[in-house]
Amino acid sequence: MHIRLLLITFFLQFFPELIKEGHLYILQTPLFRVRNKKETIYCYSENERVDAVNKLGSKPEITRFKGLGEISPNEFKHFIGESIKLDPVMLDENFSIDELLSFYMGKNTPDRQKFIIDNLKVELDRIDS
Amino acid sequence: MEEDYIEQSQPSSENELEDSLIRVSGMYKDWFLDYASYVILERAVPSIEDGFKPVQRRILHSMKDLDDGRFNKVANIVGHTMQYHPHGDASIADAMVQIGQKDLLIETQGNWGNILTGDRSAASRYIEARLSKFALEVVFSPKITKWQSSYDGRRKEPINLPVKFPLLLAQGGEGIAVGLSTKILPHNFIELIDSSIKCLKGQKFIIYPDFPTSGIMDVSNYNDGLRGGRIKVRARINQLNKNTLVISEIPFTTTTSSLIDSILKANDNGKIKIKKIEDNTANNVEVLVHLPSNVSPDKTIDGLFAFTSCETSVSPLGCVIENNKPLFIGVSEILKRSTENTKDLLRLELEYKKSDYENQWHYASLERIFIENRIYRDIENVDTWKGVISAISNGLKPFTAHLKREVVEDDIVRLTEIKIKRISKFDIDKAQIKIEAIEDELDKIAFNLGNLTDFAITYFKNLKSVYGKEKRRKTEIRIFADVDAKKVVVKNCKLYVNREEGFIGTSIKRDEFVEECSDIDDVITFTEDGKMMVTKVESKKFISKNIKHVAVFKKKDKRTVYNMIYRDGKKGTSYIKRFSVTGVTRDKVYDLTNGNEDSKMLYFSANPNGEAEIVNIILRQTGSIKKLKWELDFADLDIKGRSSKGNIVSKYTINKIEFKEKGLSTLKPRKIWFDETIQRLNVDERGELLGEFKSDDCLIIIQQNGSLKTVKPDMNMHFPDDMIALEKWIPEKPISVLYFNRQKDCYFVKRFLAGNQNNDQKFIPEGSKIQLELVSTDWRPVIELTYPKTSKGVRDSETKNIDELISIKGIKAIGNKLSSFKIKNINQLEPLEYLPPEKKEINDLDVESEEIKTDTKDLTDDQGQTELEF
Repeated sequence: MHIRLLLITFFLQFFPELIKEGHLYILQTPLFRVRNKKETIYCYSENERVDAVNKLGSKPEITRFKGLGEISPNEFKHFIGESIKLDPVMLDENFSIDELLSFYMGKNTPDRQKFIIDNLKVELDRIDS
Repeated sequence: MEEDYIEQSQPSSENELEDSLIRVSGMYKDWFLDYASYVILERAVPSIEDGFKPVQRRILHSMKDLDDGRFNKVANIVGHTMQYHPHGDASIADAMVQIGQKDLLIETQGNWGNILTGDRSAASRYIEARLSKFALEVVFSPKITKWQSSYDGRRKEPINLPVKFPLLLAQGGEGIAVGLSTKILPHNFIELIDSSIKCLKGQKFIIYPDFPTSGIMDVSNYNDGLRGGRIKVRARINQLNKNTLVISEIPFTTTTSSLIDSILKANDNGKIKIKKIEDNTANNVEVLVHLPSNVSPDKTIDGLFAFTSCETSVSPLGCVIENNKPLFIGVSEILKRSTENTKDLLRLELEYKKSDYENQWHYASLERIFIENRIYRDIENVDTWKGVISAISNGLKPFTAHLKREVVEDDIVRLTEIKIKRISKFDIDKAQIKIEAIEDELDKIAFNLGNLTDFAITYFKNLKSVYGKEKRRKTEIRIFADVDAKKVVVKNCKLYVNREEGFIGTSIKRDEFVEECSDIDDVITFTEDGKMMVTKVESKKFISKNIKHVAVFKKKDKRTVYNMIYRDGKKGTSYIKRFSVTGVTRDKVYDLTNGNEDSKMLYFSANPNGEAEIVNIILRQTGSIKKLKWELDFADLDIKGRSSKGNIVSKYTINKIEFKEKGLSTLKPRKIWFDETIQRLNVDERGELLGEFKSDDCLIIIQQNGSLKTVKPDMNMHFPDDMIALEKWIPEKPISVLYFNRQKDCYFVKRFLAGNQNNDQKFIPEGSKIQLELVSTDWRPVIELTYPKTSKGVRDSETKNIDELISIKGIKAIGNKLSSFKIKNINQLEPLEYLPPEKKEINDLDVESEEIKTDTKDLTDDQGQTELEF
């Protein structure tokens, strides 16, 4: 996520036209692979993972793809092609790139700190002992 | 609570799924929050419950997994930790080494690096670790731990470890997340426990940091470790000899290598002057700073504080995760919560034990009933399993009234599993004893649960007595006197002046040399038009034409007095004034005259110690003036502010002012105080009054190691750590000394006069067998000797006047044996009065100082009068 942010910041800063014209896409690779002997599910988010685990029942194998290094080359082939997961990056009609960048990527401010604290996202995965 | 958060987080991710066409601003927000939340919650900020960041928690959990009492290779533990923490092995190893270096939770084997020098640990495949006894007792308690599944669902890991100790405060913690950071300083183990106990008792407490690197700190602005707080930490620097300083403790956040780098840098920039620096640090810090022979060690110590990381300021910022939210919090609040949490965990442990014992009791009682009453016989004629259960149930019924809970099917099933052997050997007495033992335990637990606070206090006291050894405070708390950088900076450039053209600067080397200065100094200038200005040293700067006087400006300098005569306006009256300049705004022009145009400075002198000179005033010959020449003594004038108008000299035009005679200082002897908390002299009435000092009066400093010296008082002076006496040196006053010679097993007494020498003089024989017992600077000290019990009984204690015991001898004299008997104790009593010479002493002083003043006054008055008569 962070690298994605940094890259988009780069494009917004130096090549805003690229985004305005809709040429920038994000190629999503899965974050998890959940599989049992019969079925393999690739998951692109934490929630999908939870759903997949529930679907496949007991003891599925979960692989976490942090970097591309965790995906085998043979496997990777399947992500490029018809079912490729491409998210276009779009610009809003009326908003200021400068404001956005300076808020998120500028200096630390109490405002930003408050914003983060108020909007924290929490993932919990508790089991009963 | 968990459901709440899941609900909150779901809508946003659902949006993400359904509407992949999120605009940049939305994406930005989501991703940014994802990342920020992740770093804050999963990486950088410790949790308030157990004080661990996730990586630390996982390391400890893995170590517990692997714990079998023997050392494990760190690499192995790191690998194991990766089952829970899918991140870099190097960062896990680093985190682990840091825990190990804090020497609390992990016992280490091998080279774990050195926090003093900053040397890194050996590679993780070489070093080994196991959990310390403390960690095993305080950090783990599986039965009351709440668990979550690990990232791949294979294992379970603790959400928080049940830490029954303010671990976060003991170890400190630091982390930089997105948009916020945290910095909690380490505190002292024993003080934390004491504070926790106070907290449990409802008493007030206050805690201050304590650093493994020792050092000295000023906690005046600690602010309870909240944002905005700031503490200063200093290295411990002592003077080894005239040319060497030794640094024996370093400030937190520094290592000897970073410290030395900063010293070398300051030296390169010309802020301080050192010859070379040597690092002998291994187990203890020892950095030797060698100074050139013409540099003052005292000033260099201050210079080290001002310009190098020998003084470091640390800003704490307490931030922790509580209920998945960052919380800014002070250290005493952290301690309070941790103590409450500990109490709660202790309660949970007790409750768990209680239910465990209750089950045991329940089953033991059932078993007894089952066997004692031969209920097993009831099942002989039953053929179905259901029948067996109900038969036993019915059989038990008459006896179960005293049980604490109902008999359930599981209990009965368990009874059916009893082996025949057990039934045949069943001993009612033994069973009863076992049941009673369990009842005893239950009573104890119930008592502890009822007195939970006392139980927690006992728990903390026990921790302190078992683990508190060798955990004494390392960092000394002191209040620092601010070091004025300008006072201690080395003069690294030269100041020049071109008086006619009105330039000053360090680069105009062809012009007149003023004095040495440093690049951070300010310069005070006086120009002929009666204006004054203070400005920074620059390479070349225009002030105003005709500079009368220029010098490096010393702030708050009350002793420098300016004497001045000026003409008000083009042809106006002349005035005379004396003033000092203490505080001014830089680069602001101050008018010292009456403010009329074309005023002119006729005479000007700067007097560093308030001297007042005599000048001749010569008027221009005009018309009827009779008296054209007379003397004027500046000593007749009071010293006033710079804006005062002054006294009239003459309304006629002055032709010339000649310097006639140098005067004495009109300032009083300085009163000097010693402030013990900051170990500095001052003139601001802080601390203990040492006396009035004229320019040649000295201080005498006596040290426990048996040396003394006399020195001129200097506000920037540092004092040795083992100083036992500090006062004004009175040459005629003898010093009385008692010391013990272990070789001869007896006390010696001597009296001597301290000579005036600036270097250390030993006044007792040297050697490890000699111990200084008592030093008195009273005129006539009195001691009381008590004797130990012997076979012949106890000798009565004696009172002795030292001046009767021995006469005044030289400083190197050995002295006399104090007593031929073995001495148990020596007490110092109230000294005898010593009136006559003391009085004389005071009189001498007074007369002397008064004489000077009256003399000068008389002199001037006389001369003034004669002058007039002429």
